[in-house]
Amino acid sequence: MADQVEHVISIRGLVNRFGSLTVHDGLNLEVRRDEVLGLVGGSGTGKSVLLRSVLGLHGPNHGTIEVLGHQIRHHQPGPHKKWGVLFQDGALLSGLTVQENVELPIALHSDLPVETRRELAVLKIFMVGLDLTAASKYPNELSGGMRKRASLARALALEPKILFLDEPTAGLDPLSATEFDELVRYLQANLDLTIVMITHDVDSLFGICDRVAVLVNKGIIVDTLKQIVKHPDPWIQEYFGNPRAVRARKAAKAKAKEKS
Amino acid sequence: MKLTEEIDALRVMGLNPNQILIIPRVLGLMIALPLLTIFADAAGLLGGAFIGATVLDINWFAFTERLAVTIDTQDLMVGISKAPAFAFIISVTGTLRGMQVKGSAEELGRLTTVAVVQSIFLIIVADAIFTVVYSRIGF
Ligand SMILES: Nc1ncnc2c1ncn2[C@@H]1O[C@H](COP(=O)(O)OP(=O)(O)OP(=O)(O)O)[C@@H](O)[C@H]1O
Ligand SMILES: [Mg+2]
Repeated sequence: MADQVEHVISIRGLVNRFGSLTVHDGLNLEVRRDEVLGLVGGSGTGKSVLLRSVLGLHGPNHGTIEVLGHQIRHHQPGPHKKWGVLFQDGALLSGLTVQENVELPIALHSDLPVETRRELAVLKIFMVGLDLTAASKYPNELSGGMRKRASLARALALEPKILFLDEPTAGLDPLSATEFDELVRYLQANLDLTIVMITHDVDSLFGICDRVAVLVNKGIIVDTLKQIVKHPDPWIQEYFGNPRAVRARKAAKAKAKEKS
Repeated sequence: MKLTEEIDALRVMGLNPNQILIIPRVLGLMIALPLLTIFADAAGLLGGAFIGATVLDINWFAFTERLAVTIDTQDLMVGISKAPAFAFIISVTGTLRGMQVKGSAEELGRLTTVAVVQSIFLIIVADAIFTVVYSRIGF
């Protein structure tokens, strides 16, 4: 079955309701192995709720979610070693240094000796572009961009198969945002990662995503960037017709041409 | 909110936040509160001695002499033996309410107040139970 596309995540018939508010209604989504999937949608369309459902942090009303063959259940053990998550604010443990934060998952899921564990953590910290000074700092002593990098190092600590990013470039200045995009691209190319990324940033979308999933009408529309911009849905048209999006698309095209 | 995100991060890594966040706090306070009780007892006695010496004209020597007669170790033990129970009540109420904080800093403030009020109430109840039990067994 080598020619068949492998799905690392499959969501079927997902329904999420809060009181009378239905956020998702029979949502289906398959994430392919080694792709970068961008998740976009207007504010309040349920991107975060979708991510939380996939991570087992939220119990959906109906539907099944499978990640790497594990059935996901609310607050039950899941594929903890095989996924890494970059939360929006980093979510580093405030009582631990960056180094300790990165070591934590390694200590938890492996029986490596302390020395090796330390070296491994340092390696991850270097990989995301931080140095040893930053490694010995506490999260509240870091800038927003550094916190995201540190959190990314923690997410990568166990060499996961899937990386979830919640608005990784939100709140970063354009230069740091571009650097972060390049970092994600580089990691994806070198580590056999599947990446699911919630984003509002059209530059990241055109810069690094293979496919885009748009949350509309309590469901989801997934396609390649090339196809999705032609989709008739009014929100999609508005989103990709926006001057910023048009500019980002042109820039990405120019860059692709430059490469070939 | 940042706080809930940290708890989510623990869950995603496969850690049980109850274990990580609650147990150390409960144990910590159960050790610290008896010590704090001893400290408060000592401070109370010193304060008494100071007021005695400066205002009431009871000198230091007379104070310590009477103290040795009227107070014995049992009085001390009554207070200290209740402390771990109170510590348990305070820390469990505080951490459980803390885990319920969702969304906003306002909520954090509200639940802090709830935790304080409930701790005080539960301590009064527990203290009443201690009093009944101690007087029964003549402690
Ligand atoms: N715990 C909750 N209780 C009640 N309603 C909730 C809860 N969590 C989310 N919602 C509602 O579900 C809807 C989707 O929320 P969600 O946070 O997923 O939006 P989002 O797509 O991530 O938006 P944004 O881009 O602003 O982050 C919102 O209308 C929100 O009010
Ligand atoms: Mg969100």
